[in-house]
Amino acid sequence: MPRETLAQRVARLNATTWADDAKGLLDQVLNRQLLGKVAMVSSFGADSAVLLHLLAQVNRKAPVIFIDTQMLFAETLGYQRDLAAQFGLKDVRVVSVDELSLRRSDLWGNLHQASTDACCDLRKTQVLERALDGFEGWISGRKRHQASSRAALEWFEADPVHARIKINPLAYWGASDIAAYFEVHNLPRHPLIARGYPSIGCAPCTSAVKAGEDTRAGRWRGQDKEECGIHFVNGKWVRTAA
Amino acid sequence: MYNYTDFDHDFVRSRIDQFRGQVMRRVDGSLSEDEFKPLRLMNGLYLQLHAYMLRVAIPYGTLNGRQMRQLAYIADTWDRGYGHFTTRQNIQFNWPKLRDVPEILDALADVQMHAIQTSGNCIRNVTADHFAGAAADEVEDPRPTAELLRQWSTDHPEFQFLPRKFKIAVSGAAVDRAVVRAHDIGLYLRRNAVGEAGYEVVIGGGLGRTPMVGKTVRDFLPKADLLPYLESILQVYNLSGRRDNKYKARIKILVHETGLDVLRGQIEAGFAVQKAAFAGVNAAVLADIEASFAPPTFINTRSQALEAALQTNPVLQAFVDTNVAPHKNPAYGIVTVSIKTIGQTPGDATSDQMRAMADIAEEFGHDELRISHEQNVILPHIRRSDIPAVHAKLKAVGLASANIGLISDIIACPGMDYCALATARSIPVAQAIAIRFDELRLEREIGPIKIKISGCINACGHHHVGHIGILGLDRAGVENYQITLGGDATETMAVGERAGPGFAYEAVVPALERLLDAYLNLRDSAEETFIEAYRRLGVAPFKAALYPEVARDAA
Repeated sequence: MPRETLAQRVARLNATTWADDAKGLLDQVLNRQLLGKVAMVSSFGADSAVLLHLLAQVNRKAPVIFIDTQMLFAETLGYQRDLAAQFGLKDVRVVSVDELSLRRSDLWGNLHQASTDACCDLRKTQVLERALDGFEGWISGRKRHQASSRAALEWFEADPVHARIKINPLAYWGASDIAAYFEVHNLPRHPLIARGYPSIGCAPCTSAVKAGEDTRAGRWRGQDKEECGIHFVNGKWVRTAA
Repeated sequence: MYNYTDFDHDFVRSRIDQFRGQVMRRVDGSLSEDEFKPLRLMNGLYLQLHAYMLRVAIPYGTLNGRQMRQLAYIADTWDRGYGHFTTRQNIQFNWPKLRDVPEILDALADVQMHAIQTSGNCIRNVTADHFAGAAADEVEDPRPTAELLRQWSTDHPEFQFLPRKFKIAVSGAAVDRAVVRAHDIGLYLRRNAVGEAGYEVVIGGGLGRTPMVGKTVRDFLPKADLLPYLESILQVYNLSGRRDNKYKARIKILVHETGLDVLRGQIEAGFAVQKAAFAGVNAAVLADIEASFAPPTFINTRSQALEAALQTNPVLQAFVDTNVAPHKNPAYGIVTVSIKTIGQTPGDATSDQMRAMADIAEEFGHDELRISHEQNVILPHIRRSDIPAVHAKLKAVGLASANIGLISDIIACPGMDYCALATARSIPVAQAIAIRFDELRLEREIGPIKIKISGCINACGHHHVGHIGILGLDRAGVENYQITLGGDATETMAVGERAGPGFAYEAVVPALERLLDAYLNLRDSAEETFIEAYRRLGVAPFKAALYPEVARDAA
């Protein structure tokens, strides 16, 4: 019998996996070896507390990868430490680009002014790729409602370039579900939310959002860019004109 | 940061031992002052009005926290607890005792500093843009070039007895913050059509009694050819520069009398010979030096700390507006610490202030400090989110004046309070101007303006290139101050025009008040600076303001 292709596997998982909710899905993935070794990737951004809180209830020893692009807000780093401590996360892996690559490609820390894509690639995509070495899948907190590019998101998704599966337990959650979860569990908020940042990435490329704007409008504002390059949509790179 | 090699170290120590012997012989009387003078000048020691003065080089204006702390220690131990930063990136100690000087030099050598070639008719401390290695508008860091020139010129056997002193400045940016065109040789780092870095070479600039704007002798000199080319310039000058008259001995006079084209021919001919002799040495040495000036590892994490603080702290906002310049790294800023506290002596820092700046540099600034020709101290690499903390620490030692580029950010030479050559006081004039415009609350209204004051014709205070220049002279035993207008110290250098008869000491501040009132009335908007208004309107309306009685008589 020929080996199942990645796309077939994803289709099978999406068709056959049965779980009550996001927590149930996490339980199957983290405790019942639904697809082998899996890590969560978290930005410790505006909504991240929800998924991390779910993970902590299911398996607090599960690996959580946090990419410190070294361009983040100090507030994000503080929030990361606070959440990890409060939820009792045992295996948070803070990963960053190595210094030599940094000195080669972005000595002055201003690459993002020349090319945000190149900067995301250096500080996020390549770093994550190395961090995910040895994992068969990874858990992301993306949701359908976040961006037009994410409108068709499923629980399981193929990452064909790296032959990995991405798991999106919150794919069907709406903004109100997130808000309600924060409320019910009294989760701490990222300090920048109060300052008008509903979606938080790196400091140079994140701006505050005005009332009525899309929550991700402050990301790469003024650029035709919605995704950093970590995430693929429908198995394809989401790339902006260079 | 560049570290001394063993060779540098041994060389400096042996010079100190030599000088220690010379001082002992001066003290016991076996050397006369006339015999001792050329020896002490080789080591930066001057005899001033009241005491000896030791001038210490801060090569290309760069120093670290440990060095700054050592300067504070010297000020406390052998001087009166302060030092004076000069317009050529030196620090001067005004009250050392002769017998202590060798010990001071030893203390300097402990932190890789010295006073060699800060005096005498040799190649002096090479200066550079004080924002070097940090400025957003830079082609390349000029300091490796300056360090190469320091190594080349220190004790260069052929150039120890030039016709007159010789000053070199290097700028790495298009905007000139190093007064390059007022130097004997000025270098601008440029890129040619294929993107290679090299130099535009300027010669014959200088202020003093015969101010001249330097002229470009070579549009583009490849980096590797720098030393042979400069060697050739110095040889031409050494042979042809006038030695009959001290006041006509600088290279600017040679350029003026011989003509740039003739000199260029001589320089190029010598360069062809030198280039063969220098093959390869320069490029290899420069590459090593460049590696030692690699920028620090920046921390790009940001926060809203500065933005949040600015919303509630107008004093901090004023500081950021004037004293913080854009850095190459957008997460950082270049912070200029004003050594121009209103009412104080421009360029004087106390030992406590020096130590505070050293602490700040070490804690927040990647351990780097710079001294500017405008007599301020620069913290070149400060994270923007650390600026509120840095500001608070500066405030605690009285160094938080938010006046960079404004009317109280005055360049002033030591003048008759210290200098044996001076013909008038300059420090009290600077203090009086700063105090008056602060009283009037007009400083921010007037905006960017450069006032520069010299206490004699030698122009250490750069008065020729001040938007407003003030020159103190002695008229039959009475101080008299000439005002020049429209000078420019940048890449568009211009020598200011003398406005008219001089003013008595007491009349200087009222004259400036009339002048700046006229500017405020004449400018077409708050955005038009003094120098822009001057260029648009010419000298006439400003002259009329300075000399109202003449204007009235003519009417």
